[in-house]
Amino acid sequence: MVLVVHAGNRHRYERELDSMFRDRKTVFVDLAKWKGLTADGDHEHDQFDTDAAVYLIAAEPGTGRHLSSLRLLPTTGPNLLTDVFPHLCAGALPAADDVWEVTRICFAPHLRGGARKEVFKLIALAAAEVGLVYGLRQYSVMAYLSFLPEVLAMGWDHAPLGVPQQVDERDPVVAFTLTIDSETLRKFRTQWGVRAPVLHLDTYEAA
Amino acid sequence: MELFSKVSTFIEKAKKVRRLDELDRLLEATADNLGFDFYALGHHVDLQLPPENAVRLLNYPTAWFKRVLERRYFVDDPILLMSQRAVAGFRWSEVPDMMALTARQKAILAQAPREGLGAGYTVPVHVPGEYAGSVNFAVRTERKLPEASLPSAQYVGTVAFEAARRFQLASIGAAKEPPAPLSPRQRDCVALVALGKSDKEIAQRLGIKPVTVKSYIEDAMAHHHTTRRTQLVVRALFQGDISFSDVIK
Repeated sequence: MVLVVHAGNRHRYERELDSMFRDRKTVFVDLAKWKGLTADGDHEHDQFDTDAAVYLIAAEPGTGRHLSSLRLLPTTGPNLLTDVFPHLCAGALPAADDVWEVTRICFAPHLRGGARKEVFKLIALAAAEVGLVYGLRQYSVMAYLSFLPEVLAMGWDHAPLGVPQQVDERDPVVAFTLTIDSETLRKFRTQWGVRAPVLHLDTYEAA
Repeated sequence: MELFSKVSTFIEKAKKVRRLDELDRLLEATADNLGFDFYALGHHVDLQLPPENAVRLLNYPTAWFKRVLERRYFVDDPILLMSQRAVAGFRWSEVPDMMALTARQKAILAQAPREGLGAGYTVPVHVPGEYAGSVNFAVRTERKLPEASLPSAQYVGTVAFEAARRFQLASIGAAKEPPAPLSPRQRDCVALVALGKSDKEIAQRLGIKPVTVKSYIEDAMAHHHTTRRTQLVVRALFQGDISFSDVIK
């Protein structure tokens, strides 16, 4: 199951959030050495981890150990592409109620091979489902080109926002949109043999 | 036409392509648009005995490609070997600094420009559980690589590779039935087999009985339709049940 964690319910998922921010520190600061990121103790945070952010988190049932996650931000507010990497867009920057940004796609560093592949599918299914629940039309995404084959192999329809550019010493980064529709979700479920939703929707009243 | 519209036009057209030869023509036109003379897209396989679902599209000079096949350059072609190791795109001119070359490999690199194939840029494409492959863009001997186009070439190559892969999967029906992954315990055992551990050692490591280890491995072998442990490790790596980082430490 994948949790949808936001400002209204985050007090119920402190354990999962803590585990996610720890993995983000290990993955992005220690291993990938992303430029401009600083560790906040054992955590990694940036200026976009605010009350506007919504996190999709796949965690181990029972322990709450983070397995995989991503961060969603409305493009009508502050977001990474608009505020930090606008030069990756050739035309207008995405800014609409039904276009949200996906950043910090993170996999627990101990997951390899088949296990990593399974949580990759899980988080992709969750993103496809939550897009429909939120009534979104597109996600905007930035990715290193070496990560792109895995994204494209899912069969998720994409359109470039600009040409790839070097942002650090690694391979170039490209900004693109992913189309959200029920056809995409149906395709994912068919190709991966998944018959039930993966989202755990927290229908609790806000505290 | 500015670079972005060249790239986005290619991507829009690539989505509508229905046959491999259409993709071939589109790639040829796009390579030309980006300032290249040649392209070659393919899975890394034995070119003289390619499996039925391997893809190969290229417009290299005929004399050169004939030589590659006849002399089996693809076995130790340094560009090919480098693209199996690299994560990001690289220029062919960088290869002598990236790996130690044999005399034959130096000769291969020296021969290509004589056949008209000059400077080049290679984009490795890795999809776990599939063949590894690469997309190459090159210019005629004496011309310079269009440096400003290289990141876009990597993007175009990646999208083209995915389109080609999709055709091949559809044509053999593989897209409909991806093999089920091994169970987590089976995976643990196979990863330890790959590290050369005995059943007893695996049992100690995982805190289970040797007879249980044996049964996990036998189930995994049955799953991959093999009776040999070496073959099991190869299949498990190929399907992405385990990764090279699990077994090369």
